[in-house]
Amino acid sequence: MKEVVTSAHGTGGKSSFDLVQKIFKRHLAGPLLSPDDAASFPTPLSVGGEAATGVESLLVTTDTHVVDPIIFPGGDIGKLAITGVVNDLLTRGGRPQFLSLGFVLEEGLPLSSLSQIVASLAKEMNRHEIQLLCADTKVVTAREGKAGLMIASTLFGEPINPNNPNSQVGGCSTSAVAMSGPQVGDHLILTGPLGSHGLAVLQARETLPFQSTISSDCASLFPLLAPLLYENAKINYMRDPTRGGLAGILHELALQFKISFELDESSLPAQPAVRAGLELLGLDLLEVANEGVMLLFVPEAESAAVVERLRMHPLGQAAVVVGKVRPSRPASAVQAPLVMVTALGGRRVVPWPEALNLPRIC
Amino acid sequence: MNEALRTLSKGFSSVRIMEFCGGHTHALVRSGLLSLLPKQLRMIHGPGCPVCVLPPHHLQAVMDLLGEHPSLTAVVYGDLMRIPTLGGQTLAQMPPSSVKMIYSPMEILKLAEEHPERQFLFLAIGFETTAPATAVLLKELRRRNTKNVFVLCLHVLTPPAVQAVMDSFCGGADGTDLGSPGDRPEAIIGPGHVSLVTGISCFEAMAQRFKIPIVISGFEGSDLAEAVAMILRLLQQGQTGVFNQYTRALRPEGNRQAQSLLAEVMTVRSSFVWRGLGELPRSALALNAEWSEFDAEKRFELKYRSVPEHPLCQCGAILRGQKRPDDCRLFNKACLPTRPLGACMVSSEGACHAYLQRVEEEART
Repeated sequence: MKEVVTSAHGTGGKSSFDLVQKIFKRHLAGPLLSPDDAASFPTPLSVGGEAATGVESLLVTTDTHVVDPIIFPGGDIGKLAITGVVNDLLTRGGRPQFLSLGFVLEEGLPLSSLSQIVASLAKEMNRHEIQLLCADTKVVTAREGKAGLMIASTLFGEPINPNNPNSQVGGCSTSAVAMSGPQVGDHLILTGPLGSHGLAVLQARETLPFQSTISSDCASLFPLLAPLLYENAKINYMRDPTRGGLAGILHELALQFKISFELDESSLPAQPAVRAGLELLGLDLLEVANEGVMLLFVPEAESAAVVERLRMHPLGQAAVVVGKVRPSRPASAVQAPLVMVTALGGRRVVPWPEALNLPRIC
Repeated sequence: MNEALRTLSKGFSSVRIMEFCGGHTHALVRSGLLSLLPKQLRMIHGPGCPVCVLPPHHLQAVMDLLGEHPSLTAVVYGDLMRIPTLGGQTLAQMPPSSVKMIYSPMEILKLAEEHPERQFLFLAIGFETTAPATAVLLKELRRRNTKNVFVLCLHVLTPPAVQAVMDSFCGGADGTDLGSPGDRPEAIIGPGHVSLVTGISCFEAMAQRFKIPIVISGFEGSDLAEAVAMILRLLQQGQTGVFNQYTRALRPEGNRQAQSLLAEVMTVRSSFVWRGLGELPRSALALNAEWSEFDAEKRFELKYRSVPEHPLCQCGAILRGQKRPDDCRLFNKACLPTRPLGACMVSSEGACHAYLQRVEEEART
């Protein structure tokens, strides 16, 4: 059978990962290509003998947003187009500064909706004092029954420098936040409850056999986490468990860093309504997308202090340790890099999310 | 609870317990209970997975029908979308206008109203659990005078399937991989959701015939742990019969309203072919003559052709409880959730799908 792109390739699960490996990386991989959500690249220290940027490197991240519906409880595609890249840049300790945007509009999109979404995007952009550098717009024929839009956003910023909290240009950046990557023994800390974005979008899109007031967690985590970075909190690594959920991201990291993980089922944070809704739909809390949660890797000795610090902020009130990093087990690592200690005290494997029948949610 | 189970099982050298429901198999693995059970307890996974026991020729007939009728849309529960038929074709690969996935049969009413120019064929599958919802749909179709919805009633019955599995441990007289009577389950964890509809007395004859305890259980890990503990106590005391662990929800008489709805709308087929279990008498439901105006089997000419399964697929033996998913050479290698070769890997209630979450280190018993 002829292989074609399917919706499974967009779920953020194993199929997405394989597609990137087999096609994109095969043709596009280069020495600077980052396996993380944001990349660091060297900047010329001076132009014409004068310090141009004053920093040795900048961070960049790019994301395309195709959420359906374009407006959902708790957010819209405009807000998401900013919070998504802000959070991705943050995973490498980046401060959001400069932005490039691309809009693909579908025929039939009401101008009032477009205006609402762009206003929402602008509000989020201004909140972070991000400056737009360039943008582009295209119009395409609508997909069956749709009249939406897609947004591509690329965000640049300098690394947060703990020694220079007030500087707008970073100053000497030699001691900018350096994250070592996940270490065996690290605690996994989630900054908030899981699953609300995926369920809120699903509910806005599908006819579900129940009603609720669940709204997306879609939010910039910069206000929550930037203070910790400025305070030089000991954070070895950060990733936001968006598409593919917590299970998807942990499986990717297990491969990337040759480690395994143990999660503690009873500590996984989720609102009761989200838990119940997902269970009713047969969806797994660990596989559903989040847009306002960060996963932190923190040495065991520091984790209690980091959790306490996170809980001081409204976005971090539910922060909790949910598991730890284990060494890779060569024999079984491929089969089971992610094991859950269940509420009953038993153990089970958490598989790499495969073909979820979930709509496009980020 | 672990300690209690360990203490209770001390007197046994081995105990074989079958959980009938795929939902129970899934809960056993997901809750981690399977990894905690004392070594001498052997769980035999039963055939209680509606998608798994449906022979693929029904789906093939529907797909063929869709090809002949461009204005026809099949309406299905999600798991059916990915069951492979001839040439690996699935409903998911059909054009979106030909197939709609639903969570509840009531969604069909809206579809039918919004698209009067189309006809809708609902693949009504499932055990006694989902059959009442189909009955409610039919009553609503008549009340609204809806003319463009047809129901292909493929609902199946639990008691004949439980009996068929027990009977299949008959020593392999026909030279196939049938288990021996010595492998037959010594106790059964009975279906909680099915019993909510049927009540528990329909399992009594079986308990007496095979002289076993049947404990109807809820679907939480703690329910199953309690059901296993109950079974061990009943076996110690030599008790047989049907017992109710799921007391918070289950009344022994079941749901009388649902029972009378089913009696009003459906009739028991003289026989029905199950995947794995073969042809079983009086084991499935059809619409009765009163409702033939909505009966897809009457409205359309469904042409059945045989759909050979993958030669190495062990779904049949797995559904009979005679093999475990990891006995299959295809399991988690050629047969994956993204490319399922057998139904037990497709369905979220299938044993193979459940075993993807089983911790590998657990030694084989």
